[in-house]
Parts: sequence; structure tokens; C-alpha cells
Amino acid sequence: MEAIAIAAVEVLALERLLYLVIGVLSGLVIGMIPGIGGIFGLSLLLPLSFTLDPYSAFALLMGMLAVTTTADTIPAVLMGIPGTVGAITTVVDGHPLAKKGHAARALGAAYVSSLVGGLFGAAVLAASLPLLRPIVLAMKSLDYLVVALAGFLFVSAVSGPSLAKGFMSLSLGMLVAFIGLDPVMGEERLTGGFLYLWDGLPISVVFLAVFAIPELVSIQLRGQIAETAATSLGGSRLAGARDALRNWPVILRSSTIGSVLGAMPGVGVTVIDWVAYGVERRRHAVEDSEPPFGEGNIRGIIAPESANNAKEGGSLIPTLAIGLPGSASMSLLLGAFMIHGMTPGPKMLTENLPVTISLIYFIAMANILAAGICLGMSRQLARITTASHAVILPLTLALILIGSFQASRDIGDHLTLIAFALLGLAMWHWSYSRPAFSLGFVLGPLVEKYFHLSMQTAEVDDLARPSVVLFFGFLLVFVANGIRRGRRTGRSRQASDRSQFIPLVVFIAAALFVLGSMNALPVEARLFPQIVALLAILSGLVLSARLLRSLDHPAPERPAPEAIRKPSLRMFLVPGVLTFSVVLFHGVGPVAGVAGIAAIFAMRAIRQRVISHRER
Amino acid sequence: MLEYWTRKVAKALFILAASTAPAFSDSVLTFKVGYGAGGITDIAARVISRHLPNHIETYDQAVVENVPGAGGIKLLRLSASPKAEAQDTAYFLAFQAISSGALDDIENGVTPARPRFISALVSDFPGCWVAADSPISTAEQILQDGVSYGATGRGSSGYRFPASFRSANKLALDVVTGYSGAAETFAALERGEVDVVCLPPLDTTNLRRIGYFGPIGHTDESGLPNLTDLVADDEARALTELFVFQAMPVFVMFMSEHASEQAAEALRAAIANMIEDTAFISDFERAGYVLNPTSAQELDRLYEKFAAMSPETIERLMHLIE
Repeated sequence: MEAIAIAAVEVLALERLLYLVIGVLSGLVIGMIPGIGGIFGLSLLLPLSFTLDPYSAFALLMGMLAVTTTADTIPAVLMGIPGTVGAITTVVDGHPLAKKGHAARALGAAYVSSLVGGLFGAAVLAASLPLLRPIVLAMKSLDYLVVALAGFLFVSAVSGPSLAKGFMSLSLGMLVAFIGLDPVMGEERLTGGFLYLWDGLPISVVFLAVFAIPELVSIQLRGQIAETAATSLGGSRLAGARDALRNWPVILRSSTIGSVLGAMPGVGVTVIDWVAYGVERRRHAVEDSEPPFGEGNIRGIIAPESANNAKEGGSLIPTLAIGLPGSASMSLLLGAFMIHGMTPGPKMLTENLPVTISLIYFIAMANILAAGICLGMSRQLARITTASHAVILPLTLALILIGSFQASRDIGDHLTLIAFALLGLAMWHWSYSRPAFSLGFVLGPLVEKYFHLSMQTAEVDDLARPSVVLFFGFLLVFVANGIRRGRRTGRSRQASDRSQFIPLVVFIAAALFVLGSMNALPVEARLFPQIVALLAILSGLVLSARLLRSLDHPAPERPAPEAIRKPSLRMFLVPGVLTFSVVLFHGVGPVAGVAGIAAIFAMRAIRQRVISHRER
Repeated sequence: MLEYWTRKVAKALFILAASTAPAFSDSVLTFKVGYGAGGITDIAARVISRHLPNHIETYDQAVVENVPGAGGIKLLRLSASPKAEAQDTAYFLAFQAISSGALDDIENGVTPARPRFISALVSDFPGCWVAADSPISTAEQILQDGVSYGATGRGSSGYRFPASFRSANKLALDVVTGYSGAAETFAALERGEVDVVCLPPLDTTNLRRIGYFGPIGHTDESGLPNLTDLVADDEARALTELFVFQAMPVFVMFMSEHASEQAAEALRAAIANMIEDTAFISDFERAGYVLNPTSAQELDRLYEKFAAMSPETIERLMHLIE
């Protein structure tokens, strides 16, 4: 009790509140800029915190860290571009809502969910303080493996209309994630001798490219974000807030998932978001009052937003309990503790207990402040959806150009951005699930790592651990449900054309290359990539057979998901401008890169004005 | 309204782009750290980055960039490439990574790079740890069949020490590899997944040091056994001792061999000034480090031992640890 009172007095000092506000405002700005997230923010603020006392320093740092996943909703909903990797799931239903003219409602629901999720995470952290160490130390490598495997159960929730394409996207994500040095033997895999690739591809750049660029192309082709007229921008933020509160069981379930999985080091925000999303999608598979998931279901925003804010409290548990950071941002926070003379571990619950409790206060206060600011701004922000692409495209491309370079400040970041922008565009064009790709990218290395560790450390008795029994229970339920639904709905058939063979051939060839190129490596290094490559080839062959059948017996024509998704040279304007600006960025300088984007779009706007003037 | 904000955002973008420019600026010293953010080397670099500009006129500011990969070897290779950012960049690696890179080069018939050493601020004999409540109480007990060791990758010192014991003493030690870093390896130790870890810990509260790796015949005032002396075979013991010396200086700061000697000398002078600065000493010690510097000359001498090794000796060394 004494520690709680001491922490409250320290936290409520005017100076600390001021630092908290500065941290929150920084976090909001950082979250809104695509490509940069909490790690970038902490790197910026950490040197500033050196001179502060510990309470002020953590007010600044926690204020920033707790709210980046609140602000990243803004570009995710409004432009379909995840502000941080934690907002990818929000894009799936948030952006369709914005396109339908319900941006303010989507933002309102997201902020209230983030607020409640953030407070829930802080409460979980507070409640688990006495149990921190036993909880974290009870988890073994096998438990982490089971959690990672459970993530795969949600692939059907993110696959889109074709499960086979979902599996292909998932395996492609896994294969791409295996690029780099393998975790056991340290052997180079698919690096082509490039040092840049030794540590794997940067997740923030890959996700930004795969999700953001196709959305920008889509905006360019449509002319603006909203598909409806400017007058239907409404969809009040209060309606969104009411939606969130009405769906309190969704918030409760997702926040629990966020804080529990957040406490498991290495699981990561992407997995947490997809699990929360997948659970709700399965629970509300048939729903009359809302559009289907993936087409603007409000629960598709509420679930990930409450989960990713609740995660912050959860992920502090292993960091504080045993000094085991669950993510890169927690690693930096761990560094901040050490710089202020505190070593995470048992002392955080004894001599440094007031500081630990102050972190809980800071998380709660930062979430309230951020939700208030964002709710206040959401109606103004929603107007962005009616802005012309001539404004949106250059601004967003410039942000992506700068944001992606923060991953490792290497030209490789920009080359990765361009390569994966093209991949994302191809996936978007041929309707391959990008969420399934992201799930594979995150889960592949996790499963590989914990599989090898479990093989080295687990014993037969460990198969009776609760996590393993639960996993197989869930697996049975999932399989039974899948069979039941498959019988009920029959196999859905999509309209197909011969161009669908292009990605299939490329994909199968790539998987064959992976299979062959790994043969010289030790078995530990090649086991997983080769298994995944084999599965990828199999799913590619299944899809090819289906495609051939559908060409012989065409299904009734269904409208394409987006009529604009027709092959056109205009699709390459955005990647082309991006490539040009990258050349300027590294050839002349960063300002020239940004100026290049501005110049191209300014020239394009002038040209269009001249044409329309002539027509008049 | 929208146009007003568009103009504001565009202006902010140019400022943001210009803020990326320090990576290209001459008045900023970049510290490239070969390990992830938040690790012990990263934190040391961040503390140094705050104080060093006060002791050198050339730079107004020092920024830290993390370039993790292959236990530091990725950064070592980058620093040696002709395209390395030479003049305004200092690199931070454990000596173990630098010497391992040199050994790999010699083994592959390549002349190893010659880093321009600046200084190493911390030196320590590496040791092995068990959990505080572990039934293992003596150094001899960690050298028994079936004892499991936790390590990151196969290139790490955490792997190489038990691997050399395993080969030299013909033991069935079980070395579990694949943990993501020291923190995760020690967590595995605390939850009983492995019995021993030979890495530097962040916090020693729930751990017990069981021995250290020192030069052959060395005794420590702490009374802990010198594990090097427990390596059975004379030749193997001599080779293991090499690892001891390569692991002693930690947080080694160096410049690329393509940097000028004047630039390196200026940094050496600045470091010499900085370690006399009470503000720096206070910050460094508050972060949990014990200041125990190794000079550039001493680092050169240690490195020379590796650069001068014959391919045959290296082959025996590699055989011992693999």
C-alpha cells in the first residue's frame, strides 16, 4: 500500500504529467507515420530521458510507447496503410468502413477499444505483480511452440474466399521469413551473399510495402479514399464509441488475449492481433446486422485494437519480472531501466516497487489521454477520406520513403520496399491474401525456433502439459467445425481467368528453387524451409488443378472484389515514383527523394489541369 | 482547411526528411552496434554516445544504430568492406566477434581486416552460471555427462566454451542452441530448461557463478575455480585459453581500417578524456558497468595473436569447438 501511495504522489507531480503529455503527443505522431513505431520513438526519446529522474523518464517513455498502437489506427483506417505493424489487422475491416463513408465511426470504435484494452492491460499487470516471476518462469519452450502453432489455426480466418490461396500466401510469408541466418546453426539461407539479409528482412518494411503500396494504387485508380460521395463522411465517432461499448464481450476477450499473449516473449503484436481477430471472426461467422468480416465489420476493428493496447501491459511482465524483453521496444525499455540504475528482475518488486507501480499508472493515464485526443480529432481526420489522391499520394509516399529507411538506415531497406511493393501489388491483383502472408512471415521463424528448442529440451512427459492438451483440443474443434461448415456451404468457386496461372507458376518455381538450394545445408538449417516449400508446391498444384477444372467448367460470373483491379499500366505509377525517389534519395539526398515525389505529382496535377482546361 | 493542413504536413515532411540527413552529415558521429537494441553493448554505446561529443570538437552529436546479425560478424564484415562509412563511424563489438571473424578469414585464406582499435571500457573473465537453487555446487559437477548448457547460436561464446569441454574431455554434454539472446538463455536457466549458461548475465540475483575462464594456472581472489585448468588435454587447454583472452575485453570500440589514423587518434584522445569525467563515470556505473579500460595498443596486441595464427592451428581450434 505504501508503494502505491508513493507512486501516486510521484506520478501526479506537475513535471511528470508534463513529460507524460510530451510522450503521448510524440507517440501519437510516431504511430501515425507509416513505417516507424515504438522502437524509433524510444531511440529518439531515450537520450532525452538520461538527464531526468526515473519517474519523469518513464512518464516520457511509457507515454510514448503506450499510445503508438492507438494512433497507428488513423492511417490504417483512413488510407489502408498500417501506421505500425500492430495496425495490419485493423486495416482489414477499418479501411472498408472508411471507403463506405464510416471513417469517423470506425475511428470512434477503435479509440474506445484501445482505451479499454490499454486499461485492461494495465490492470492485468497490476494484478499479476506478485505472481510475475512464477508466471513467466512456468512457461517452457514447448508452450511457446504450442502458442505459435495455434496461430496457424487462424489462417482460414484471414485467407479470404479461397483457402488454397490462403495457404499459398501463408507459406510464401514463411519462406520469405526464412531468409537470413538460421537460428540453430547460423547458416546463410537465401541471402545471395548480401550482408543486409543476414538478420532477415525488416518486418516493418515488408509489411508497409505489401499492405500500403497496393492501397495507394487503389486510391490512385479511384481518385479518392472514400467510394461514396463526400457528404456521407458522417458515421459519427459517438456511434463508433457506442458500437465498442455494446460489444464489451469482444473487448474483454480480445484484451485478455492481448495481455496474456503479450506476456509471452517473442509472440509479437501481429500474432496477437490475428488471434484476437480470428477468434471474433469465428464467433460471429454468421451475422445479419453487420457486413461480413473483411468488408467493414466493426468487430474486426474492436478486437485487434483492444488486443494490441492490452498487449503493452502484458509485455511488461517478462521485462520487469526477469529482464526478458518480449520485443525490440521492450529491449530498449530494458536499457532505459539499466541507464537509470535499475536492473529488471526481483528488485523491481522490492526496492524499486514504486517505479514499477508508476509504470501501471503511466500506461493507464497515457491511454486515457490518447483516446481523448484522438476522439476529439477523429471527425476532422475522417475528412482525409474525401481528399483527392493528388494530395494523399505524394504525402503518403513521402512518409513511406522516410519511414521505411528507419528500419536499418541501409539502402537495402528501400530495395526491400520496392521488391515487396511489387509482390504486394501482384498479390492484390490476383486476390492472394496479404493478411495470411503476414501471419506466415511472423509465425514461420517462431515455430522453427521453438520447434528446435523443444526438440532439444522437452521430454515425453511434457506432452501432457496443459498447453499441449489445450492445443490439441482446439485443433479437434477447429477441424470438426471446418468439416461441418464445408459440408454446409459447399466449395466456393471463384471466377477465374488464364492469367491466374502466372502467379502459380512463379510461386511453384520459387518453392522449387528453395527446395533445391537448401540441400547443401545441415538438416537443422534446411528442415523447416524445405517442409514449407514442399507444402507450398502441393498447395500450388491443388490450386492449379482447381483452376484447370474451373476453366473447363466455368462458374457463374461473380463480380470482381474491386472493379478497378484490372491490369493497367497506371498500376505502376506508384511503384515507379517510389523507385525514382529512392534513386534520388540515395543519389542526391533524403530531401531530394521527397522533393522528387512532390515534383512528379505536381507535374501530373498541372498536366491534368491543362487537359481539362483544353477540354473545356 | 484541408489545404492548410496539407501544406503543414508537407512542410513537416521536408523537416522529417532533413532529420534523416544526420546519417549523411559530417558533424554527427555514428556508433554502429553489432547487437540488438537494449543489450549490454547497446546500452554501453548509448551512455558513451551521450558523453563523447563533450570531449571531441569534430562532432556535435553521436547517434547509435543497431546492426545485429551472426553474433556481431555481420557488422564486422560491413566495417571491413571498402564501402564502409569510415570517417564518422565507430563500431562496437565484443572482442570475441572480432577475433572469430579474423579466424574465419584465415581459415578461408583471406587476409583478415585490421580494425583501428579505439578502446574497450570493460574487461572481465567470462564465467559459467547456474540457478541459485540448482543442485550443482562445484565446477566438477558441470563437467559430467548429461549436464545441459544453454547458448544462442553455434558461433557464440556460450556455445564454444561447453563445446570445447565436450571435445577435449570427451564428455556427453548437451548444448542447447537457438535462444535469441543472453536474457532468453538465462530465463531458460531459471525455469530449469538447461543446467548451465556460460554468458554474462544482466542480473545475478537468482544466479550462482560456478567458475571462470582465466589464463592457464591463474587464480582469482574470489576463490572460484579457473575452468580453463579443467580442460583435460594440454593442447586443447592451450587452445581454450585463446578463447579466454579473446573474450576478456568487451564493448570494443574501433574504426574501419579505411578510416584515417588521425580520426582514430582523435577518438582515442576523446575517450581518454571521457573516462576521467566524473559525470560519465557516474552514468556508466549507474547503468551497472565497472569501468576497466583496455587501451588500443593492448587490443592490437591481443588481435595480433589471432591474425598471426597458422591455418593448421585454426583447424585444430575449429575441430575442438565444432
